[in-house]
Amino acid sequence: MSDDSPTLDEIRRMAAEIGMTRLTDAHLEQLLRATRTARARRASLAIATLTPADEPMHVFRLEEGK
Amino acid sequence: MTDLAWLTVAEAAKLLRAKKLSPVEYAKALIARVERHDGKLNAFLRFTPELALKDARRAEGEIARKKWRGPLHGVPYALKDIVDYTGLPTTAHSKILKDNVAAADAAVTQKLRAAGGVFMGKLSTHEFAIGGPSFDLPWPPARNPWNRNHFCGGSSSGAGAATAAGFVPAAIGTDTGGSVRNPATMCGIFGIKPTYGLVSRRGVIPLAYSLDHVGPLTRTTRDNALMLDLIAGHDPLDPGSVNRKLGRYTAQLDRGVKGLRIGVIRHFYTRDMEADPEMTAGIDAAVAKLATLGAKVREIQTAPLGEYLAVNRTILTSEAFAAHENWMRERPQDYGALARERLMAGAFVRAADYINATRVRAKMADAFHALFSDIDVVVTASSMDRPCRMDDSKAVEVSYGRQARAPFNVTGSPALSIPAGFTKSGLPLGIQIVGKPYDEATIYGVANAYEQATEWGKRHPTLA
Repeated sequence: MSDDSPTLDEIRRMAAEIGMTRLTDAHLEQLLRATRTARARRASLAIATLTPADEPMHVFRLEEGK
Repeated sequence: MTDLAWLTVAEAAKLLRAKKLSPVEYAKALIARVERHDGKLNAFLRFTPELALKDARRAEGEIARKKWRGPLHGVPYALKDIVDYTGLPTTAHSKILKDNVAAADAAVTQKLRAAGGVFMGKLSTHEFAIGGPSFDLPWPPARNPWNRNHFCGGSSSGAGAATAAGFVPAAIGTDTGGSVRNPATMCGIFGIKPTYGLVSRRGVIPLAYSLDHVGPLTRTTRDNALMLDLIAGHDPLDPGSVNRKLGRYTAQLDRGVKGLRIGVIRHFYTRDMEADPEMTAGIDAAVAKLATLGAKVREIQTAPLGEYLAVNRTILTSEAFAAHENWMRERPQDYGALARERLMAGAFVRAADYINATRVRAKMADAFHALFSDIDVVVTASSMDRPCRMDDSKAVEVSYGRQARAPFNVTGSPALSIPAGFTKSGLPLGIQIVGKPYDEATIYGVANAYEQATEWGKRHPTLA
């Protein structure tokens, strides 16, 4: 499969692996569309400008007493 | 006396405090209006006139004893139904939470009750603040008071519809990718997403933890500032809540815009996404008006809109799926189709993509905040399109992504949507005013100057 474009059978297996076993065929079609859209979005993430030192937004600092 | 439906919070407060208006009579007038018209608009998911009258009677007694609590005392308000109110179900407009009775008030509810507000009920939302407008849920979707065949925006759809329709002068919504500002734009009212962490999220059903904001929708700038004065503040029980000294958001309302430096992000709605010509004309006319009022206006550049939207959606869907995974395993059939598909988008986002989105987010936020070294506020589009028809599901779906609101959930910046005219067919247009973190007061100053110089905020829909 293409990493960004799983097939319906692949999505059924992937869903089962994370415990989503109650999805109907219609739900799986939705999951397939949603996953393809989400993965296609990856191309729009501006990661080319990132260096290894660029940290995530949620890196935190502990205040004294916490 | 003015039609009570169109009293602003500030006007009502003056009359109530002077005992020229009875809180009970005011509540009864708005209750009658909701009963007469909401069958066609569906703004309320749970209308609670009995609670409203109880609050109104208490306010009447207190004001008679000269125990005035402030500008919301005796004034009706309502809550998006993802905000907890003790003893009432918080359904998120979903079958999944139909019987989810709140054991405590949300932080924002506590503040509004302490301020003496008159609670009118819970308002329609898009399911879990993401899936809508939907016709396969236990309650129908809210409709636009300017034309009920048209979309009123979302996800704080009932908050937009109820405020614009004159059911309440103020409502509380939430905003993760634009959900306060979208209904504000579509319904021709004022809606702010405050700085991240300024208003507590405690007791509000999360959509995406790092992007969720709580904010008020009102029919004037002044009322919006009054409401933010009431609900802002540190809450140690919300891990995202900031602990800082707050000014009064009404303090700079009348400062005007003379000499103020306004940066216009035009590439969002002309190059990155082409807005509807009527929307573009409305935004450009608003910018020109601000210039005639004395602002120093210039065009500025930031990252392309698509890059902001990719960061917002990657983070939003990942965090939202994490919150919904158990229900998605156990009860997938109980979601409406739209929410199910939008939430499923987070199921297989790679961990590296989520982390990279948060890394890009940090850089974007720094770069955006740096723009304010030589400007005071930003003006840009809110929605790219006019409110579409409710029965045009394709147009509704497309409108979900054709917007310039999500960038400011990414940066955490305060952003206010205000009315900026009407289409030829009489539907509202809007613009966004964005500020530096914690500088809501300057945004309100610009909004109020524009509001006072135009007629848009004075128009009201006629409910058939």
